[in-house]
Amino acid sequence: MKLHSDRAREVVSFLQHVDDPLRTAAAIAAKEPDAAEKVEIIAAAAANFGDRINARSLQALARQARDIAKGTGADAAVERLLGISTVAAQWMAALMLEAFAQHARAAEVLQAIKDVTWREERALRLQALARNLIREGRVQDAWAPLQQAAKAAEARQTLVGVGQLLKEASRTEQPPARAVRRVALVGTGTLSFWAEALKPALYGAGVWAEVFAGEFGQYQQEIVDPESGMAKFRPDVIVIAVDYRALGLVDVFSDPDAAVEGIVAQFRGLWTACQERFGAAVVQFNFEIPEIDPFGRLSAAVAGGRSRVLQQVNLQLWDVAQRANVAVFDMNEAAAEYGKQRWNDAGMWIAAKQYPAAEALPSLARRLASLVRAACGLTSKCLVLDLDGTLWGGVIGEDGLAGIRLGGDPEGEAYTAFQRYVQALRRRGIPLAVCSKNNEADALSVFREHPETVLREDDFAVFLANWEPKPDNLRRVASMLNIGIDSLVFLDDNPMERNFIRKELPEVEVPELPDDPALYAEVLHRTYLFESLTFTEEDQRRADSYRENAQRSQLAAGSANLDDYLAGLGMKLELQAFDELNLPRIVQLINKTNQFNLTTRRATAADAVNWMRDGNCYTQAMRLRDRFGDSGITGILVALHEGDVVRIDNWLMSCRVLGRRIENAMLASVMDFANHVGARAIAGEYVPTAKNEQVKDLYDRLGFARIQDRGDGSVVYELRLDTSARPATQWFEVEDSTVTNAPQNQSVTV
Amino acid sequence: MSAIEDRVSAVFREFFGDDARELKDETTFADISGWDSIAHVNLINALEAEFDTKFSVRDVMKMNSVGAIRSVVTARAGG
Repeated sequence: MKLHSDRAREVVSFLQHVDDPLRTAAAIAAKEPDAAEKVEIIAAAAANFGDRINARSLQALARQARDIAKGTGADAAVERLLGISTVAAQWMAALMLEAFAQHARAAEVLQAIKDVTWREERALRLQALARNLIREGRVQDAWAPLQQAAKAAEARQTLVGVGQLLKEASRTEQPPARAVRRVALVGTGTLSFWAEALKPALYGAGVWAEVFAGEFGQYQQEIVDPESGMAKFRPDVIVIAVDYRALGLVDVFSDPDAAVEGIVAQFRGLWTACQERFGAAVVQFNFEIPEIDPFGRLSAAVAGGRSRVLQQVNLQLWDVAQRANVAVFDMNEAAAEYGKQRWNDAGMWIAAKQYPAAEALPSLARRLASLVRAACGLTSKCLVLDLDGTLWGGVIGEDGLAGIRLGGDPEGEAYTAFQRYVQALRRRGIPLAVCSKNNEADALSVFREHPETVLREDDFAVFLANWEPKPDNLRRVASMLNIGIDSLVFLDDNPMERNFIRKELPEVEVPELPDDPALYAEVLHRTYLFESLTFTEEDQRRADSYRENAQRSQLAAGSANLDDYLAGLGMKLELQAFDELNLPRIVQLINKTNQFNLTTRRATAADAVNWMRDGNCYTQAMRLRDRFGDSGITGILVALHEGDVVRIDNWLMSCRVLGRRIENAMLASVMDFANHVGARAIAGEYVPTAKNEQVKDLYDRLGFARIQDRGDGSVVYELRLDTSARPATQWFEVEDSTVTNAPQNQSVTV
Repeated sequence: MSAIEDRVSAVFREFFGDDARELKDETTFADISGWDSIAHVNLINALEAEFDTKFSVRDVMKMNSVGAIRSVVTARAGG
């Protein structure tokens, strides 16, 4: 182990207390006049903190590396850094090798570095790798890292840098790409800023494009003048990106309808010109609704307000563009996703007509690229999913149905939420496939039997659960669906599996997944791999959910009274005794429900198991389904047969299903049990807490008599069975298996 | 040269390569090929990223020479 100098040791102990030790070390090294000491400091920092990299520290260290490379002792410094296995040390060593023009070695070192994040840091690494491969003359090997760098880059400078490398490499050979297009950008604002970001972003999306940026503020001339720059460019795709400021909007329009029509008509005319003159595909930007508006909310509240007019323009554009075969790019949504505050840079608009802000350009470029990709027919065609850890927590083959996490607790609910997102993709027309290392029977059992599963067996177009290598299975999926292997998107929670597929089948899209399943849906969403231009009639027939939503709002609008509303919901209740499969969800509900909870008695899984096994205990788990979906288990009741009374010990309902009289059905079932065991009465108890005031008089409303008012606010109730009617349950279809499935009752009735 | 001036020079070199080897306070657009209006905006954005700051409209108007840029940056980021 190398000993560091005293100064270096001092610096290291100081750096322990700093937020960004590497960047600070770079700053300290920059000021160090002695070359040898500089190296000591850098090496010590790299050894101690070298995996705590971020984009800024990588840039700062790069600068230091290049500086050291120019000085004395550089060779020794490189060898020293190569011997330190942290990311920072390897990074700097590689850049020093690059400075010595040892590109092959630099590329080798950069290739071997493991990405700490898949974001800007990865982009910087791949950019450096590609640069060295190009310098080495291995242009054919640089395309893949360039494409990946374009996908990962977040800083505009990085994306632009990748674009410059692409330009350089393309002088040697044609870049491999799935599509080649000539893309013209016309509109308002300084479009040349976009062009530099768009070209690499398009390459990241698989499209090699020549990008033309129209003259400042001359979008109509570019389209209409036969001698315009764009005409000479002969575009395949024309992007019309006019910003809201160019529309000449006033604060309040006296004739808003005419204004909206006028704006839309203007663009419709331009589309016709684009299509007739150039035969080009047209992408029309809609308009960001400005956040900064002196009229504030009135801009939308007032009928002729600017914001309202813009919203109406945007709405009309969707319809009119669809009919004209033009694709709308949702600029307003892109700005909202990024954050309108950061999207707009007032100073830069004033000084340079730059819109959106420089830092927002990569985000814009990537979204636009995904739309152009879709316009080139490259939308991904199938989502292939691993199972264990991806669609549920745990391993079905080891943990069994009762042990995997699916629904029931936050981790389980993260997976059901993800299943819902995936299922919606299927309904939208994207086929799903399974590719899992599992016994087929085990894998299928979840979709066939698990009470919380959202996805069902018939949601999958192809189901490959076996022990064969995943690349073979993926090829089979592609051939069975008659689509290219490059149309597949593969999701797997295991990073080793992901990297393996990326190596074996580089054409398959394998998005990086975070550790947290709660983020799976949004990470998949933001790849925009399934961004689509059309939703065909055939897809529409499969879109049951859309119909259901329409019906739901009709129902709410139409019901004059509660009775009709409840009847209209088509509620089906399933009342079951507790069982092993439902236990996690049951225990979760018992411990987290606060509002509709009569006694707030928490319980452990062991308690629940005891109830299940106790012959004198009645357990009820209530599951609600209605016309619009399955709410799952949302009610729990535990009652104990004690002498001639059945005492309700625990009664709670999820706040999701309140206000529907479901308590009537739950009580009716207890009454059936009480009659079955020959009890005289049902006893109930209300124990007040800070949160359960809403059930203070539940028992009163259900016809119970107050037996005892204890001093602390709690109340004991009783319902005599001989004089009490069964509560109304006409709005429900009830399937009650609590009594028949209850363990054999052994108590003696009086 | 102060740390800030070093970093400004480093950004220039990263932008303009060898053309920016010798930077004097008096160096302007005209002296470095490739320093056009688009590059100027890119340069300002890069300086904002480098120094973690935001230049005001007034700042941008002043930044016409290397010297002016150095003093604006020092005022903004020098602390």
